[in-house]
Amino acid sequence: MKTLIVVSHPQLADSPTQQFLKACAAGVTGATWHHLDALGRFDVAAEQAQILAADRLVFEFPLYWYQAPASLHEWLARVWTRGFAYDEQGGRLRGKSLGMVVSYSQPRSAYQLGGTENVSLSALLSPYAALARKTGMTLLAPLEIAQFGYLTEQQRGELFAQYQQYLTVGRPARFAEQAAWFLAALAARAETDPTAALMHDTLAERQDQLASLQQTITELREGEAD
Amino acid sequence: MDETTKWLLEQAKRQAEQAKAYEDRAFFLALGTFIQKQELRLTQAQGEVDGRFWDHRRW
Repeated sequence: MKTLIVVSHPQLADSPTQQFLKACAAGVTGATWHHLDALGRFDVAAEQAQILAADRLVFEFPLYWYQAPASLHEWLARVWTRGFAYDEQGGRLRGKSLGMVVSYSQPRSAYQLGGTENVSLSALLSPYAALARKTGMTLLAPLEIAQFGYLTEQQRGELFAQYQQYLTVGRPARFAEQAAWFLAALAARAETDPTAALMHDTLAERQDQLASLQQTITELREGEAD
Repeated sequence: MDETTKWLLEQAKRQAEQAKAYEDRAFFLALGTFIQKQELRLTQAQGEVDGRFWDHRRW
């Protein structure tokens, strides 16, 4: 999968979150880091060509006053033109997927009804859902990063895997697809690491066992419904 | 927790500790969490299968 990571951040070098994500993305085949604020004036044709070459677009930004920084708005206004993003025939982005990686400095519980911000992240990101619908793109559930600075090393490790999956996996929220990602990564290590090979085989066997149990449950439920 | 899960978790921990590159360390830390989630799903799925087979209304 070819993924274009569209990063909107005016002070990227000062952001530990973005530096961490950039390092994670560097290890992903097919992922391109595209920092809008570093581009200066947008070359519309070149930007559109990059978008067309991608299977997935990921808008990545910190929340600034409940929305993306200015560069993402400017890029959308200038690059996502009529005839390119949408037209009577449906536009040229149809069939791609659109994800969002959104970071903020409050705890996760802040962005919900009744939370300290009293608004959900889904509500704030709804313009992008409209944009995906208009252009025929499949929307992925956003990857939220709350209070990166407070994450433990264990949690950062989990974010590393989650982010790489978000860039490469068809449906990153699905457990079976996460399993396939871990298995592929273990298989790649198995060539030089016999323990990784054993872990791969054991995990694969357990994943098969889980699929088989889930199949049995489906059949039992159908039998009960009859 | 069964013996296989214990073994997998020990290996993931050891691999994370011995990793030289950060991305390897991060991967094995995340793998540990995945192993636990997989085990939970297996336990729950097995429990559901057992529960449905032993449904008294079907005796």
